[in-house]
Amino acid sequence: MKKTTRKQKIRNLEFQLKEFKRTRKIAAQRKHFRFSKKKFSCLTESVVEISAPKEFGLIKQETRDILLSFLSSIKSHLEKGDKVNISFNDTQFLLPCGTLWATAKIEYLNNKHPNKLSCTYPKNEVVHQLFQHIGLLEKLGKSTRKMEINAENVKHWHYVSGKSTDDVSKFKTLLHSFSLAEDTRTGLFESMSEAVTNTIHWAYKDDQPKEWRMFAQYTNGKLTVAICDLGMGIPCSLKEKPELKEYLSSLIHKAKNKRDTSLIEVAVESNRSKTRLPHRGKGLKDMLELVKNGTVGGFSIYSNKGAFDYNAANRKEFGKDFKSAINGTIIQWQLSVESNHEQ
Amino acid sequence: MSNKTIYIAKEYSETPAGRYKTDGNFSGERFREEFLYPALKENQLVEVNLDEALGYGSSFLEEAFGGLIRVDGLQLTEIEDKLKVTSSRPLYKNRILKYLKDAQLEKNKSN
Repeated sequence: MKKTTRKQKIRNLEFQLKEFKRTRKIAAQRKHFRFSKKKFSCLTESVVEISAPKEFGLIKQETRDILLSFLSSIKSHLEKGDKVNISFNDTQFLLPCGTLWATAKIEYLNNKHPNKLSCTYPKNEVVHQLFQHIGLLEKLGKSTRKMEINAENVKHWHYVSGKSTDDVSKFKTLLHSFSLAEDTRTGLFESMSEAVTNTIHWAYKDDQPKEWRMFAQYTNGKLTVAICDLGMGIPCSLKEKPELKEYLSSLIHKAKNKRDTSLIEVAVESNRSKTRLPHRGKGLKDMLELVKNGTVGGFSIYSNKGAFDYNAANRKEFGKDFKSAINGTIIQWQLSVESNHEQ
Repeated sequence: MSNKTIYIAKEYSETPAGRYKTDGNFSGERFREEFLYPALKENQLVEVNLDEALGYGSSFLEEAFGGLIRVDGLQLTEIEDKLKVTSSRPLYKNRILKYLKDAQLEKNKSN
């Protein structure tokens, strides 16, 4: 093996110093990352410590930006060949969509860069319990502490993942864990299996693994279920459909400034008179109908920069475009569940 | 020719899902190719029982039933004569009938 010369070592050190200053400057600007000086300590391997955000959420622009910057920072360091240690010390609030998204991304990066990603035990008890409950700590190399999962808002979280529609059989346990009305249980399974089918068909390019992940949380009489993929997103997949070529060049679409949200609305409406979509693509509309039949809860889609939301309480739909893209899709349902929920 | 009843949950899957075989092992396409279409060819009357499964997404149902017209070239009238769908949830029968009618309409338009 070629021996590193003193001159090369100095050059490496200078480069690392420059890199450290640059990342520290960015961290200071964003105020939520801490970079370990371990990066300096050796010449052979560097470990970058990145602090996870206080809140894992995607709905508010500010928390969304922080969460996405955090994930993007992990990705860029891993791609440079660094080891990354995630510090969960500051993490306190875990919202379903943000937690699902962060977990999906971290697991994906961990699989892509084996043995490069590690973490600290979360300081917050509930966060610790949840990350242990869903197996994230174990995946990041932390042994499971003998901790009883007793937090009310953790016990009723379910997490499963899959790579084909065969894995929807995993929903069975979740759907029988709650005393749902028969029609609601059936409708929810239909919607969830359609979301997975859409992921397999449209989210990824042919050569990519068709991965999907599902989180479910019960809290305050509401069951929240979210399914995500890390694919191209609904707006991009729609643009690839030749059936939509005419609509995409139409004045209606141009008038909407080609926003991601307007494309998500098209996918939900699946209105053939407007878009000429063929027999495929009725799934999102059916998913919305499930929530429209109830008076509590809602239905949300987050895809790239766009968001679509239906609130069952006031029966209103609205769309929102964020400044930052998630590069993938999350579909979320909220339904009311009887108080005696856990069977 | 005889009659045949297919119990999807028992004979195929309690959690059928997906449209094409590439989606997974319990897709609508595989059900149609390996269970439904052969049964319709070989029997005078085919009953499909949908009970006991966790549910049926629109992709599964459309491909399994609409595909009989779109892919296998059967006619709506022929299917209506030979196929009986039984379910404790009436909405499935209505959906399947709609998928069949839509498939026939699309086929008529393209001819």
